[in-house]
Amino acid sequence: MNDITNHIKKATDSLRLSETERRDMSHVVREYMAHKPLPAGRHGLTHGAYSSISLRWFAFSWIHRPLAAALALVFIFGGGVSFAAEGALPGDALYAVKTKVNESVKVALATDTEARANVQMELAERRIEEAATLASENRLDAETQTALAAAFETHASNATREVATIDEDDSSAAAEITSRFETRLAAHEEVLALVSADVNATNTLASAIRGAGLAVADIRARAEERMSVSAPAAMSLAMETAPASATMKAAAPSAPETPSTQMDVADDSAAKYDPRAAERMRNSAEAQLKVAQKKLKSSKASTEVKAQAEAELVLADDHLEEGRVFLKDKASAQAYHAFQQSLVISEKLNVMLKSETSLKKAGARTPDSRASARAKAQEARDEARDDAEEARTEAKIQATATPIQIEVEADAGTSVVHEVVPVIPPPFKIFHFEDEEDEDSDSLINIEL
Amino acid sequence: MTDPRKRPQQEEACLEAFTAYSDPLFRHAFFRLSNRDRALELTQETFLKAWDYVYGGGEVQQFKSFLYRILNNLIIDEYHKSKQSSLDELLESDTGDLEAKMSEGSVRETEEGLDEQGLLETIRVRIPELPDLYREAVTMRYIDGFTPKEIAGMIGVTENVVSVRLHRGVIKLKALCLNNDL
Repeated sequence: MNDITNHIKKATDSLRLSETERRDMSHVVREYMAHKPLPAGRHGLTHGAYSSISLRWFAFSWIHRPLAAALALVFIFGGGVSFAAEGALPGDALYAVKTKVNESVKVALATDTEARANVQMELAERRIEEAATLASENRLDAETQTALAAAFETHASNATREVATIDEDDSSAAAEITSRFETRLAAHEEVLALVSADVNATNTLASAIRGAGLAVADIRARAEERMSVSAPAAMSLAMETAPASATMKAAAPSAPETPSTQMDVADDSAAKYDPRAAERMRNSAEAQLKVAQKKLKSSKASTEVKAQAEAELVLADDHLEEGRVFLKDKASAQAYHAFQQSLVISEKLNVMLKSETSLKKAGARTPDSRASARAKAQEARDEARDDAEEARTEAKIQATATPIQIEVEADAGTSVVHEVVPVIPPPFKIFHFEDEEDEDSDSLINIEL
Repeated sequence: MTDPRKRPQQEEACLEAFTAYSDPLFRHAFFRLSNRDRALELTQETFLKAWDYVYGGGEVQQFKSFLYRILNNLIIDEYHKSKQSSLDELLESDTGDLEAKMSEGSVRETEEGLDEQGLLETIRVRIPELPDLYREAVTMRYIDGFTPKEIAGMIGVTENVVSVRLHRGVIKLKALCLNNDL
């Protein structure tokens, strides 16, 4: 009997972890320990007297201040972990915490339809951002991509469903939300293409994005149609085709046909366009421009990139100003589209700035493709600038036909911008300056008159 | 009160425990699971769980038995996951006739006739075929070197039960080794 039991020990002793296995495991254990470091003071628990004191203190505080203690625990553990999880990527230990805990909380906290739509849009975008980050580090495999694309589609279709519900009550809100989402999607698609070493590598996700983008564009077209119930058919048709294709196709600062097409349509019909829609678009455009300006300020991009971005912001500001002039002139449709263009530029820039790190990483890897992409972007921008220039001239021409103070104002607005563009001034200041002038200009002009 | 030098003590203890017990734990898991990959994973999981406990303010007096207890629970969870039949059912497999055979003394001779290398190899292969509860006891006793009393404490049964399982487990193992030859 003793025999075999002695042999058991001998037989099994040779079984050990291989060197690599031990190293890997040791690494994981150390990482894990480093990830959850003991708070200062906790070490005392191993030592007799001290431990009993601190334990008693714990018990005491727990009994007497249960709420505070519970809150503290939530902050120390829950807050820390979910905060740490926010940056997790697929494959990371905390990714499940991010998607299952943090994001479910976000969804649950969104109470009205609009908030729900916004949350779903944000989550959909997050999936693309994660893919972009992985791709920029060359870590995006097919499986992860499929999973991310599926998650993206779920969120995107949730978002479009919510937006469709909004559209039933408030078309202007739906139009604003979809304009933003569409632009951001297009920008994300562009980022994704930029960061992946091989364009075909991100095909699955890219087509998912395109699909969602088209669905959103569809809703937007309907919302815009609804806003102009009293407008003639030609106009709604123009609106249905022009902006939808433009934003999805050329990814952002584009839609050159939009204002000009609108311009050709009879002026009085434009006035029947729901002014609330233009107002809403204006608020959104202003808000996003501000966000973009702020982001640019804190951006760590090279001065060259920053200068480009600033130039785009000036363009967005121009559009905004243009829209204000139209709005004054009661040309709601034109105003709406001018604001929309401004919004499109700002939002695209927002996405680009947000993906800065991924872009930089990818740029370090493939300087060539990055350079060509930049050249392309520059080209698109130049084009957009020309178009904007054109639109502005047209706006001026149109403004001439309207009451005198509008002409003066439009002139003032454009001339200031013209002077300023080559110098690249701080956009914030111009923005405020013009904003304030807006209120006073009427009285000023009246005095002069 | 807070001596910064003492702070790494728990970390140190954990890392020392890793160095000292990663092989034995892995060995234990391997013979319990007969699956190298899962054994690796569970061994790692054991250390992570141990750290969770320390992180949560727990105090570990004896790392060895503490780690084995964690690992044992993990393995039992694993059984529950993978096996449809209950542990009781597995225990049912009666060893009565084997015991009878053993007492006759016929087996002993055969056993002695085996050359040692062959026997060692056979034991390695056959341990995973033991019914789970016997394997648990036999692994802990003869591979990990715990006393029956320690085992009893770890798996939460009386020392007596452990002894019975050991006894039966060893007989069963012998029988398995011998069948191998036949």
